[in-house]
Amino acid sequence: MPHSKLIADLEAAFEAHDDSSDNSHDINHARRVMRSALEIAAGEGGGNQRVIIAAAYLHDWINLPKNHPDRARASTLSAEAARPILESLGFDEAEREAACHAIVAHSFSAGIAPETLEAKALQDADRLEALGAIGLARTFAISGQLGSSLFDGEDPFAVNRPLDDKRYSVDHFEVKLLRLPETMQTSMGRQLADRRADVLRRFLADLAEELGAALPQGARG
Amino acid sequence: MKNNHVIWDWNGTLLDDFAITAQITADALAELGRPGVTPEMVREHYRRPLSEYFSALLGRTARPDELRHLGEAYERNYDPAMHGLPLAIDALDALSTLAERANQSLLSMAPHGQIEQLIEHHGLGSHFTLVQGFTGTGHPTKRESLERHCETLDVNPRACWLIGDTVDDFAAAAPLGVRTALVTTGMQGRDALLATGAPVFDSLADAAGHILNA
Repeated sequence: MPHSKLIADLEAAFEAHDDSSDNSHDINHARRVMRSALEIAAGEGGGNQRVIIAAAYLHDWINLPKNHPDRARASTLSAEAARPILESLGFDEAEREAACHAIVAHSFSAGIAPETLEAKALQDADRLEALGAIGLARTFAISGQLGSSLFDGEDPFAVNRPLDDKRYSVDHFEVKLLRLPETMQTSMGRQLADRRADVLRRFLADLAEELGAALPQGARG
Repeated sequence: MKNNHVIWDWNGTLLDDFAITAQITADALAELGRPGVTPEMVREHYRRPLSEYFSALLGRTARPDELRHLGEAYERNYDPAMHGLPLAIDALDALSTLAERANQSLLSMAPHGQIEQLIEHHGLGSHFTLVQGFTGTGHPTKRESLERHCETLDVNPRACWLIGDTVDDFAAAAPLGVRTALVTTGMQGRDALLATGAPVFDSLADAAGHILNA
């Protein structure tokens, strides 16, 4: 497999660093992001695979909870932490800068636009992780960590109340998840995101049926 | 059953030699026309390669003859003083604490002969299954040395911890799967160590406790 030594080194670094406290950002998340980012980049013309692979494994190195006050700086801190690792792995300065830019720009919270194909592919790949069957599993895992409720039993789809995704996980679908496809940076990422958003819509429709509640028009897509 | 192996760094970690190292550097820089370098500045600017570290302290790119002067000043002043340097205050406690649950070895990039002398001087030999300093020529990275160290020990790097005092220690260990505990007793300041994402401690005893509880 191409880059097998690089991947082995990054897996070793990841596992040495990971304290197993966050199963939605475990090594399987890093592997999926790497595969999706490589697929997206290949569909968009290529990109530097070494940069994409390293950025995928290191993008959440400093992983702060979503309600942490320094959350917006997590990707910047991850990029800083990545530099000595990348140097140790033999990345030259240009590759280090490219990987660090991708790491910084991958995050919603950082508010930094990705400027390279590698950075765009990484951001799209990471956002895909919030969609589809994986996204469903991760959404409820993260809401469990944050102590959120699954949904409002009286008004599950916020027909007669403001959306509140800090309190109700299902509200997060409308607040953020179903809007992700339009934020994708690449056409390949957009295609994949549209398919995976349909999984969420089907889930909401099934949930509405089980609850005997009406699903608002917007959530049907 | 000892499932862990702990690899110790020497300078700035087990050996309390930051003060003299900083002083030698400050004196040599003063001779090059850059007086007033403080220990805090040393910790703030320390990095590898050393040419970048010295350039940062000088405030400009260090010339080859200046780098040679700094290297010679270190050799001239450190060697005569090294037998008078103390161990870190809790070094023996940390070594003893870890000995109950881990095998331990020492890996340093300082000359092997110097390390051997100091280990014997401090009576530490019985704590370590292997003591390795730098023996070759050229400038191998700490990562290469650490990889060989694990091979010589015949231990899986993923079962190892490295206790060190620099970002370089972290960068050497991470791609090998060696977990790192960093201490603020040596060459690098807390902020730089924290930026690695590795756990950072103010004492060897705290680092040892973390490893035992991990």
